[in-house]
Amino acid sequence: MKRRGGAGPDVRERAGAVADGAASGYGGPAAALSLSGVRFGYGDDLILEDIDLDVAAGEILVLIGPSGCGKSTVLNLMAGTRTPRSGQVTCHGTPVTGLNRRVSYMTQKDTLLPWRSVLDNAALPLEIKGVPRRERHALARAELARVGVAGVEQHRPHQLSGGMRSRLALARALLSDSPILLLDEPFAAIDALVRVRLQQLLLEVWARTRKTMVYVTHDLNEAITLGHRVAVLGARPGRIALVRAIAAPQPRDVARFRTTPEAQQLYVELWNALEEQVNR
Amino acid sequence: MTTAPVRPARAPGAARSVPRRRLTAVIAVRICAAAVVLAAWQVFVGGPDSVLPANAVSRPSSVAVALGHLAANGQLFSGLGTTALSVLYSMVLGALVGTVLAVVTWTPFGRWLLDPLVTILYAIPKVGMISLYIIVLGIATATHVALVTSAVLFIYYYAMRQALDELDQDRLVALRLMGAGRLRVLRSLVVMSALPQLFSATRIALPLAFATEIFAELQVPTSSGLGVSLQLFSENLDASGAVAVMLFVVLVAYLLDVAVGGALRRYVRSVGLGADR
Repeated sequence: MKRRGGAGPDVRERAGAVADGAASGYGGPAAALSLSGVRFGYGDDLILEDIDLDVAAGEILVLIGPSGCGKSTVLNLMAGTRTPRSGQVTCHGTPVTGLNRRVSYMTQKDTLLPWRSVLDNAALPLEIKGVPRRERHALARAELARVGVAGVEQHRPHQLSGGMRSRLALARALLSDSPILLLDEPFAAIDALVRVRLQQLLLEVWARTRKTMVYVTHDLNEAITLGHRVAVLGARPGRIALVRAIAAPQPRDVARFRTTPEAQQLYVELWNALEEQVNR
Repeated sequence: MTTAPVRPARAPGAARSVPRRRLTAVIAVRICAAAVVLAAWQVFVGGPDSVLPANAVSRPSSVAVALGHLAANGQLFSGLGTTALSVLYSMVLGALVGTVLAVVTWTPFGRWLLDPLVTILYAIPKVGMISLYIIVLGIATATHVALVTSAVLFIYYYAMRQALDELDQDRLVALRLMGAGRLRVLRSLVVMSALPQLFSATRIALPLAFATEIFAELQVPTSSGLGVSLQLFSENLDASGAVAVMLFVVLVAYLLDVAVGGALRRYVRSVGLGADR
């Protein structure tokens, strides 16, 4: 377990976190994403302070924290849609300046285009890359089938259920072929049963693609089930208060893992850490 | 896995029957209202104690006769052809210039450079520009088109500006992260997002375009057009003919509005904009 007071960058701990990842079998020692001494705010309102965080290649890092602590801002910094006031964000060793096109971004409110069919929405990243129509449609159909959206290719997104829309958004993100997937509470608006199925799908996708994933959630069970590591972001101004590695091998059985003693012990630990941050 | 993709299918005719009944009732009320207005017009105009003399606005019966005569001899439709063609050119040009101008002023530099100029140009009374257009373009259809275009382009400009201001930033970022350049963003997101606003702009611009074109035909000598017919009837103090032409213009503008409104509703329904999360 690694506790951080947030006083400043702790290179030893960061390097250790990446090594943990390598030991768990999800990636090598190179950090896919790295935040060093990152501060961010609007005017006098400081949102993030001294954030030091490495995400190993092929790792699923889950970010939790109280509301408004800046979890989504961390993802925005990784995506390059926000620029840190100080410190540095790097992606595979290269500083992130401007939009980081090595990431795909999935949010709670999906960004599907309502005037396009399901198939054309999925194929959009390939269309942008200039893949010929026949080829991109074949690739999109295959990906849609893998994520469980077969048979509705000619529908429009509004004709799909919330779960199906999430699957479609995931298919599109996978077809963009970015090595890193940023997920900002992507299943928060989905009902519990479907959410568990989508979480399982996400782990299956990870097992197939070994993409680096950074996942923001409020749901502790979701964090414990999905993450190789869970990072707790403190109350505003947000700092990394705790980074907890989860040793259970991936891909886990989402429905069952959360009922294991290990998961329940983690739940209590993370709950206490969160409560401490909320009461700070 | 959730395989149930969609909303349940509607029982054939079940959900549609209520709106259809309501539509029938609305149409009936409208016809009744129009009949009352026409009856009042017939009764209260041109009589010995009437406020308005018959030679000012004529009577519905006389207008109907004039309308039938104009339709039979083809004068109305040939005039409509000329006027509508000029309106079509102006609408296309106005939509193009207005939307392009809005996109250009979307960038911070473009807004800084052109925004004050556009605001000033918008404030200029367009009818006052007619003599300038005659000097530059001569007595020609181009002058009509220039005048109508200058009237409608601002409607498209402000509609497009609103669409750009309301553009979904998450979708924009998603597209940019996929590697989309400016043209791709314009094509795949901006224009498609702006379609409802552009449809609405067309509904507002069409009657204005017809009115401005008829004004142009009255002011700039031309051989045909509804404005020319209107001028001839006015010069001959033929109120029935003049009102018939005006009613015909109103009818055409209304039918176009119904057509564009219908297209907008179909589009909105097809992409589920109301139902979209």
